[in-house]
Amino acid sequence: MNAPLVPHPHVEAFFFDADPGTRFSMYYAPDPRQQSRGAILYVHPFAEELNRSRRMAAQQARAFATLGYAVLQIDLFGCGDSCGDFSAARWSLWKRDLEVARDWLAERSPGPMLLWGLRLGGLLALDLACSVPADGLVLWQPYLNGRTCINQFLRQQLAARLLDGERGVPRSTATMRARLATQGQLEVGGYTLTAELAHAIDSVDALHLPLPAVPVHWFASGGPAGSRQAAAAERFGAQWARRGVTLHYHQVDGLPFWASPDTAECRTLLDATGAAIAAMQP
Amino acid sequence: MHHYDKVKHIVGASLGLQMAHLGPDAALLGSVPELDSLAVVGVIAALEDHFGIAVEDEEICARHFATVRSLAEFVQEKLDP
Repeated sequence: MNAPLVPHPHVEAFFFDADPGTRFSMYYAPDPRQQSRGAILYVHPFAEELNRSRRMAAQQARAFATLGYAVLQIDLFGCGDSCGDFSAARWSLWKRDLEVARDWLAERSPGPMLLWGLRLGGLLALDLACSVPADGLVLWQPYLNGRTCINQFLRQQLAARLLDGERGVPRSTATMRARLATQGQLEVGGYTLTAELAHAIDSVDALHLPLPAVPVHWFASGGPAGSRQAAAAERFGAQWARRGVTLHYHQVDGLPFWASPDTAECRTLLDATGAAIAAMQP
Repeated sequence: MHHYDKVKHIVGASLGLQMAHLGPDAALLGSVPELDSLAVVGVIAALEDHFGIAVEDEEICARHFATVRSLAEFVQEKLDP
């Protein structure tokens, strides 16, 4: 057979028009040898976790494309390689970016649309699913409420102080939050967190979101089996079931690559996610 | 000592490190390049999740995080004050 060698999957990096400005995006075309299975929109994590998780996100996107999914990854406003300052980012702007991206993807790929989010991206995906058509969710180590995400983000400052020989004014996340309220913004790990963004994120709680009746695949990863997360999943599963959500909870022992300074890979998570999605009924 | 193996496993899993070369009293802070501020927050979260404890802000200190041994002792304190 003399078929031309076409690299697969076919991946395109481009700048997406989204008001204001543009967004850096990566599109993974579905494997043409597979039956088309639909589309997957990726929602990336918060602040520095975006950079640390790029490799895993790319590997998973490729794996999805090999299954027959079209995948779109978009750097949200003020994040990554997209335009805008992080200090100008807003939760509502991010949702709008994702709505535009979702529509773009849906136009090109009829069929089921899955939202796939990592960490805070998981919470953002859940929130998004309440207002745009989605046929399922894939959550990687999701934050189930924004407040925990902001607390952990602020904790980085305490950790930095610890690593710096405990120099500097001892702080608590409570005093940091007070500073955030009075000053309107706070620098943490090179990121300028605004009070507006923190407040918006704080107010998102997945337990009470009006989710659609779709399957949700929640992958708990980033370490040995945690009792607390499993208990939370049960609680959420029960609450969400009232809305017709079917929760599939997967415990995957693996490296928390979103926090690892190296370009870390978590093969177990890639395999588990691929298997779960491959088994999804079209 | 109690919980030492589990704590060591969690630290290793969080950092993607084989912990064989890190003994109970080997320095963690400033000596392990993988342990930056983002990783520290991750280790704390993993310990909290696994042991069902809540680490307070003021407990994020060198006394607890100096070595794997001191971390295990801290966890023990939290579980059985």
